[in-house]
Amino acid sequence: MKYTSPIAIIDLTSGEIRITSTPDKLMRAYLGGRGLNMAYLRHYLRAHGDLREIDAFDPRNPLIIGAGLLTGTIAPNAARFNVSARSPESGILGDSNCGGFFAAAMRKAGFDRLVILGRTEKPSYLLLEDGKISIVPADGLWGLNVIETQEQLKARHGGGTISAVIGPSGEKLVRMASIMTGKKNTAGRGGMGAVMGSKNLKAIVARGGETIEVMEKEALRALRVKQQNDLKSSKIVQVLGRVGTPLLYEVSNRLGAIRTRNSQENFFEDTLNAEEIEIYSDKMLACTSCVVHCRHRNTLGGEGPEYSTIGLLGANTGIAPTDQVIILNNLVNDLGMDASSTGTIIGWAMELYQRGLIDDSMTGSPLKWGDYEGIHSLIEDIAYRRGFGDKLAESTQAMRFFPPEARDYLIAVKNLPQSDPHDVRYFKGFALGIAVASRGADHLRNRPTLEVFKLPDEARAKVYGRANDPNPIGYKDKGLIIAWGDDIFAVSDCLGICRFVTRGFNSPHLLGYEEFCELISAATGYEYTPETLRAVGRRTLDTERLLNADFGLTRADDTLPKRYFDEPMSARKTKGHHIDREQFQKMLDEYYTERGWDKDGKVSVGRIAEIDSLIS
Amino acid sequence: MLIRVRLAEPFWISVGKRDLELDLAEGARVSDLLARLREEYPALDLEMDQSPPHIFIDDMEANAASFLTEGGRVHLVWPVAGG
Repeated sequence: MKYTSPIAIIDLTSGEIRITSTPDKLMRAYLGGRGLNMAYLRHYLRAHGDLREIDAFDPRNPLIIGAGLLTGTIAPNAARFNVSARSPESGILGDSNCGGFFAAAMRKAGFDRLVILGRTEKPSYLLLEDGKISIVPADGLWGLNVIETQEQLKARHGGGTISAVIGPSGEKLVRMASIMTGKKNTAGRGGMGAVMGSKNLKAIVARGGETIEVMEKEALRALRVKQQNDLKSSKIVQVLGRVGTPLLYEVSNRLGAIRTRNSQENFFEDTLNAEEIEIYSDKMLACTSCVVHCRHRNTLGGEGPEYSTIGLLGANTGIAPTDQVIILNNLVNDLGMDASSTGTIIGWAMELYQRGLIDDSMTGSPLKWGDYEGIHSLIEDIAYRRGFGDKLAESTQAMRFFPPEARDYLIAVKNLPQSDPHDVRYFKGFALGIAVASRGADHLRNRPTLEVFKLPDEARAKVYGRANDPNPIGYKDKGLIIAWGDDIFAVSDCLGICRFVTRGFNSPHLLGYEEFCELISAATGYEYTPETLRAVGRRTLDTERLLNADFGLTRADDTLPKRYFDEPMSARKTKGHHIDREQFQKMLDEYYTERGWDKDGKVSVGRIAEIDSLIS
Repeated sequence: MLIRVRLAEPFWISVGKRDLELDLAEGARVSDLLARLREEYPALDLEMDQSPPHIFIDDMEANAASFLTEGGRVHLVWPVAGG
């Protein structure tokens, strides 16, 4: 059996659907998921010449849904898929990673990857079933929220139907609209839901099909058993399985590193600690093949919240009551919006109001920190583009409605609001990470979580490949650790494996290149070494860098919000910390060297030729 | 003197409760508190060996040599960060 990866190129304008396989050379270069999505995104955008001329809502902007290489197999935590397009939020590469059950269902229905082009005349959805694809009218679905849309689709197509859908915000082209599957699993970052809405596509429905074939079934089963046992002995896996990511809130808050009231402050109330969230949780849920079970089912009608949502819809907007934050979490999910961007943009608007840079003549009513009713209404107004919400629906691009100094208070990089609630002025590696992350301010591209452990020097050298400075609040060697995180996290995204079992994310153990190589071999017959597998990550990063360069980004865009440079943190252990501009530039130099880029952050001519040769 | 102790995840599991109150002699340091906790809760002793906690007294970071004061609240926090 030779491993093949089916891909469908769907033109919604003409209705033409072409089903083929990803060429072997391209498969081996990127494997799947994020990497392969990036290769196809660059290919389809460059086919039209200057990338900057293709607006995110242009029908030529491809929406690419790609499962990881191992997604849907019994490999541990292999549930994930990436959604990629030009981002309507940031204007650069858009790429969002999601768990749940959809990607496994998509593969079982016969497709590893969809490239969706064009735009249907009327609202529609795609039905993937037993190796076939139909474009179906979305009669009665347009305008529905996320949960109801999925329930209706299940009623139409029967049990076993799994859908990825948009809510009203995606239909209204809200620039932070997400694609949702289940009640909470979210392809949230970069407005991929708005791209889907611009194509008049309400949902992608997968059903039917067979178990995903693998090359060596028994070998993969043995690896699963061994790796699962190892993972379950890990403390972080055990704790995430018991309380989920809310555990991180108390840690960051005690340190004084929770983004509070748009990062004017750095600590908040204890009402958002994990134990308070647990009061509203009746079960921990899992994704396909998961061994962690980190997702709360809450008693208020939804799932979650995660740490990011707690921080950004809680502390960042000044809302302390636990139940209110959970209700807002459920609301943004059901409307189909990215909680990180929503919380960051609302916090930004509230500070602008506080400073008198905007007033009631624009907002229609006062914006007050902690005003639960007001924030609840504002979230709905954003989703439906009503009143002041219509302006905030532009996300960072709402800047054009505000005075120039409003930019000083925007917590975003490359026009993407910061994803997580951690104030990065203290741990300098965290700051470099969000500055260089390829999709904008985001912690899941490279977050060096091991910086908070006091690992022995030998252990650090073993993880990162050479001796390095253990001081997490210094600037030295941060380029090394961020480049390391970039690569291994890119590889896990290519494989479709969750960050929570990937080495380097909260543990120096978990699954690393060696374990990934074994899984790849058993599932596909592809043989890699840790070095050649890391090269897949490097290639993915280089491809993303080339995409962003084509969108006009330069070294100057690898930067941080002004506040992080110029305003020291105000309290607790982190008091006084900020990012020194000169030292930041030195970190950037070191990072570029580690990546093999020149001093301007450009990929070499030889590397460009190599990447170009992989796809035609 | 009475010292309040807050055990964050995962340390409280070893003890069965998140908040404790301990009576320690005047002039006691954090090291005395940790020794007492290790003695009274062997499971916590093992847990702290595996995952040395970050220690805070109220809002300030502390270490084993830090002095305790009446009414102070000591937080034992797992060093972790993610998303």
